[in-house]
Amino acid sequence: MNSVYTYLLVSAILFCLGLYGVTTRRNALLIFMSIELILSSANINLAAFSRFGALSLDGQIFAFFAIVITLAQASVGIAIVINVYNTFHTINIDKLDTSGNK
Amino acid sequence: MVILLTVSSAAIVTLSKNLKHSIFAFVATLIGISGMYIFLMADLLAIANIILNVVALSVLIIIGALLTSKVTDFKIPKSVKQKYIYAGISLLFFILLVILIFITPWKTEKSELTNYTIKAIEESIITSYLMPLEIVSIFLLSALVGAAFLIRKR
Repeated sequence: MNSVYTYLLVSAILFCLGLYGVTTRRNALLIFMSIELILSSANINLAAFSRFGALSLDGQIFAFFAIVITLAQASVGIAIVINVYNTFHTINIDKLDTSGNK
Repeated sequence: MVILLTVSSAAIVTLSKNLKHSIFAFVATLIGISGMYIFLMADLLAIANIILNVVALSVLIIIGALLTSKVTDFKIPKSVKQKYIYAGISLLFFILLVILIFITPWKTEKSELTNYTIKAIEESIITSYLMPLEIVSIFLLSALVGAAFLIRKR
């Protein structure tokens, strides 16, 4: 728990799990949660560098702003997902097709 | 322990077949991330993560799940066929990241953080980070107005 490598490794694992989720999941909400995982991994990196590098406290402030922006993005994103469900009656992103062919 | 909680529940989020399991594992992941912030002496980040992400974002996602799927049927549609290709790409990217992490000479000495960073952070926010604070406030306001505009009744 006491070196910067632990946090960087956990952050890399979270990033790659989020990447896998974004590329393979077909449910819009799950893609959403995977994007949140990617953003959280970036925040862990910022906090780790503020603890272990020359970046004292500035990294935590960056991560704080990133959390706020993530939440704003999430509110708009959920609104879009609900709107898509009201229009297409599904949130499977392979079926969101207005041209008529399956 | 915290790392185990974070990584295992993140794996459940991306690999589970059931939307309910994914959502609750997502909440567990965020709680684990807050624990990692506490180990990094970032108490303001831990509190903000619990209040904003664990409570507000999870409630948003649960409401979204309830509004967009039938309550008895939380099945996730089948994944794409090229799942193994994407898994390989993610794995390659992970290996690249690990190599980069271990060949880079990081500064490993701890910086001079006090046990109580909230006061220092708030002084820094209202002095040298005032402009980003204003921009984030306007951005948050416009995002809220936009979300309310998107789900209005037509």
